[in-house]
Amino acid sequence: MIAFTVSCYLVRKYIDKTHMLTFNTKTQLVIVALMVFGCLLAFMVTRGNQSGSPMAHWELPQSIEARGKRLGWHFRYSGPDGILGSNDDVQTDKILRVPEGVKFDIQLRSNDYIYVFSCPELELKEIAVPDLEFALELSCGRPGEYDLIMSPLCGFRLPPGELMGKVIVDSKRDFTRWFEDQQKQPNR
Amino acid sequence: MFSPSPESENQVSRGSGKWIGLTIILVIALVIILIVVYQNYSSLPPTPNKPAKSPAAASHSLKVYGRAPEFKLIDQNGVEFTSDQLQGKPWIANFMFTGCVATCPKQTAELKAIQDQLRKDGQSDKIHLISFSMDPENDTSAVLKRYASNNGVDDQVWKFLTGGKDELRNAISRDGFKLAVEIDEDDPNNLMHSPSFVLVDAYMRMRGIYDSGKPEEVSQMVDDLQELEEEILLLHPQTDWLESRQQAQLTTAESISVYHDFGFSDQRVSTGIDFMHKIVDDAGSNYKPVHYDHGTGIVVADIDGNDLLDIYFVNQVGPNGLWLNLGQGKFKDITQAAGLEISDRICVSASFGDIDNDGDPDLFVTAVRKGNLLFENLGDGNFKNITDDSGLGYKGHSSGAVFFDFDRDGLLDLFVNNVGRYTHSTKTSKVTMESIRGEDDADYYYPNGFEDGFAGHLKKSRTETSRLYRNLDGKQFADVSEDMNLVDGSWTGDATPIDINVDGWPDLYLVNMQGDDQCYLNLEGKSFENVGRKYFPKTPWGSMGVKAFDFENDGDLDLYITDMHSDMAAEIPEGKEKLKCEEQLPASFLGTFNTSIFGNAFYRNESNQKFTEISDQVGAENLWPWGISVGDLNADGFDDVFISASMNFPYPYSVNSLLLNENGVIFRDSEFILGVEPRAGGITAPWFELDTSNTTDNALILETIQKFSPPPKLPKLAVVWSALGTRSSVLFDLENDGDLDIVTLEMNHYPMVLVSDLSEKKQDMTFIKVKLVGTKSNRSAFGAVVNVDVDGKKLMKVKDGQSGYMSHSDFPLYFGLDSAKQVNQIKVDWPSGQQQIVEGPLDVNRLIVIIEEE
Repeated sequence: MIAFTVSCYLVRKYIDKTHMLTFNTKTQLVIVALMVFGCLLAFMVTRGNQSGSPMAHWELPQSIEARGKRLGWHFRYSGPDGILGSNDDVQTDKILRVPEGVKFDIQLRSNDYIYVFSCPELELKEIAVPDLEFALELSCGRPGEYDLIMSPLCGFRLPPGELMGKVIVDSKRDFTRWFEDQQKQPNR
Repeated sequence: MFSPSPESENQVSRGSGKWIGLTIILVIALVIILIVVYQNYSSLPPTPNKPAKSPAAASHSLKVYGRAPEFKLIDQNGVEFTSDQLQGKPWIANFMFTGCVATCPKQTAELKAIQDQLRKDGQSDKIHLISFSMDPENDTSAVLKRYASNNGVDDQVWKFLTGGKDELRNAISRDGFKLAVEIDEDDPNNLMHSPSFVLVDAYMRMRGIYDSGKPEEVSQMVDDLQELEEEILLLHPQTDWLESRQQAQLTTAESISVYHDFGFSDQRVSTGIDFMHKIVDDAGSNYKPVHYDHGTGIVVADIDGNDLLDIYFVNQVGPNGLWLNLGQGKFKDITQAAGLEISDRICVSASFGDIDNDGDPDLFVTAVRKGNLLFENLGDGNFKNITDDSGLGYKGHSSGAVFFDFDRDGLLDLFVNNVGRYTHSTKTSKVTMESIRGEDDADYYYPNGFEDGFAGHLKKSRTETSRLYRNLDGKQFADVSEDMNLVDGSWTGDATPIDINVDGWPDLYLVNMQGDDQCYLNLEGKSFENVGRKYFPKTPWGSMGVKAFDFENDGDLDLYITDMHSDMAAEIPEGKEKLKCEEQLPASFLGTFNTSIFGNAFYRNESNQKFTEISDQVGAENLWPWGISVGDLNADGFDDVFISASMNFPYPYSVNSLLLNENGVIFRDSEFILGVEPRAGGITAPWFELDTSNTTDNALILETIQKFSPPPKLPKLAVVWSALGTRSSVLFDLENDGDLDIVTLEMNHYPMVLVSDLSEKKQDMTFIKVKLVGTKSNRSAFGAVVNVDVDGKKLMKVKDGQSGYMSHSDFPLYFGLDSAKQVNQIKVDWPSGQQQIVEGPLDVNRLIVIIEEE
């Protein structure tokens, strides 16, 4: 709007002299009103996206892998290229961060032993076996932190209270911010 | 004389200021350089000649000088004292006699000082002091007691032992500790013995020999003793759950209505059996949850025809052990002479059966990937390896093997369970467990197990079908699996013959340790049909052991199946051992479709070819079970059950189960009541040595240990201890006194020889043993059904050889008769189809031999 007002002033001052492309005051007010409305609309749409309305698909990781290794879960999110295993992946140890209300198919794999991806609070339970891939549908309804408990299948155990990892369910805005931050990390 | 001019003085003075400034700069620079160098140096890994001053590097490792001898002697209080009582704590041995005036008083004084120091430090319960008398004829218990008393000996810590002169001087001092004892020929009273102290670790390994006359060596021994205590790492220290569980069970004893006023005690040392099981590293320092941790079997048979049952222990890291029953509860190791050592491969199970009908039991042994073996019994206690021509030398992952005559032609056929490919093809390790025992190393390599062996059923490429072999002529066998339509790829470790449809043809029940069990109906010896889900809609998911027997004495065979693998799915909290596993593995892993039970199953035979699962109703559940052995342990006419149980490293301990059959209605837990638990020698034992400086290869173990039981100090060489665990067992009358005893196969440890005192406690008990000799049928009479009519009751048993996990014995049938004075009739249904009746009255308390009528 400021730019428009300044433009109008400059046009009046210099171009109006040539009687070309000039607007009367009423027209100028209409244009300003339209621009105000447009800006407000854009602002609301942007804000709406950040607070939980559907977001463009490309902004979410296309795939997530959970890999059991040395009694812990290690996670990998596909980056902008949508391909797991490429250089733009985001990786985390022991923390699976996901946005609320979004459905993912987690690919479960293991580097060494057999593990159960088990999160009783979210009623999640699936197996991970070396050289095989299992899928787990994950869709979390409410933000919070949930324990990934140790399964005894590999023989070794963790003491009471120790976990293989956690699931952290974020709001979409927080997740997006976190995911974007992770992608900017030099050694992600 | 030189004196500097003022100018020059000034010059020096100016020059000094300049130098001082430079010096300050240099000093600061130097300090900075030193700080940088120091920081860099301190971050470098220690070089070999400059070890880091960590506790690990500071300690040295004590050598192993071999095993200390086993013994059974009498202490100063007149009480029997065995070497078994020393396991679990380090101890110091010395050799003395009370009349000695040479080195003995000095030795006693030194040990007394150690005893007092330990007491002062509150460490009295950490070690034992053992003084062996070299003059037992004079050193009676009373004499030793007086000597101990005069020297301020603490009876709980310090034992003075007496016994047989030959045992003490020769077996213990000379042959055991390798310390000479000599008698002066000119003066028989002049007894010369070693003045040495010997330091023995908690696993009966000699770790140091010290001159008791040299203070510096005695001081070194005390330091070494401390190091022995520090090298023990225990993952799961015993908590008080065992004691509370014992107390809880003892309070139920009065409510048990069947006879239970007797007990078992481990008499292994007095039997002479010193067989020790050894594991591969894949079940120890290189642990992975693969089928190596299933261990091995134990079988019995009368190999030399003297009506005494001999024992064959199967080892993982050989040699196996054949122990000849000498009678009176004594055994002798004849493994080498009999040609049954088999120390070049990892063995798994054994099966006795008379394959050539020549009157002596032959032996089949399964092994991992190096070939199964068949041995012909030559009748004189010697065995001949006839594998090459037998057609039974299958190389794979075989487990239990079952002799039965499926075509009823009078020759024993063989079913061999193959688990599935659970080992790598190229990755191998050398057997190394010997290092912990101070024995010579055996030099061969074994295939390493997969880390995910437990998921083998999900990988089709790892399927390995079991094998059915037809006995062609008594020596040669042919694989007829495909011809007989018995091609089974289940992950099965054991099987039992059972005539499911009572048509006289032995069917086969296969326990699948990772999925549905299978049952194959024998179509008159011409083919087999899988009727698993028809007869058993739901079976245990992780079946391990199986036994068919008549629980209720109603004349038909019920079926008891243990489920170990379901217990791996979740932590079973204390107090929940008798309940089914609540946690279940994901369906994608199970691979079964609403056909699984997650725990033991007990199928009651409803006599109309229907089986009803009633395990919870009869109390058949337990924790971490392996195999089942069935026998009438209290001789009351109802068969009782012993279930071997417990995993080992890295799991906590579980108890073996002894279930008394209460009149065919319910099983009553009695392992504590009857003295089977807690184990006399403790529930843990050394498992493997661990180089704690190798933080790469041993990372997971070190991490686990640090998390569960962080030691105050981590020595460079640690000995990791593990919970003990039984794998297999056999019930038979070991010393021919009329009651059934229990011999176990322990992973990585000595067996337990649990001798029953029933015949002493219940003097009016009666029994009868029935030995069958087939003529038209196979000579071992496997498949014969025996009905004993006594006091209006009918007791039925089938001879199938099943006892324990993966173990197939050949022994007479034992019938407990409560206190009946005679047997009215014995009826035998032979595998040939012939029925034979032996009319009574027949005397009890004896072995009756029934030969099949021609």
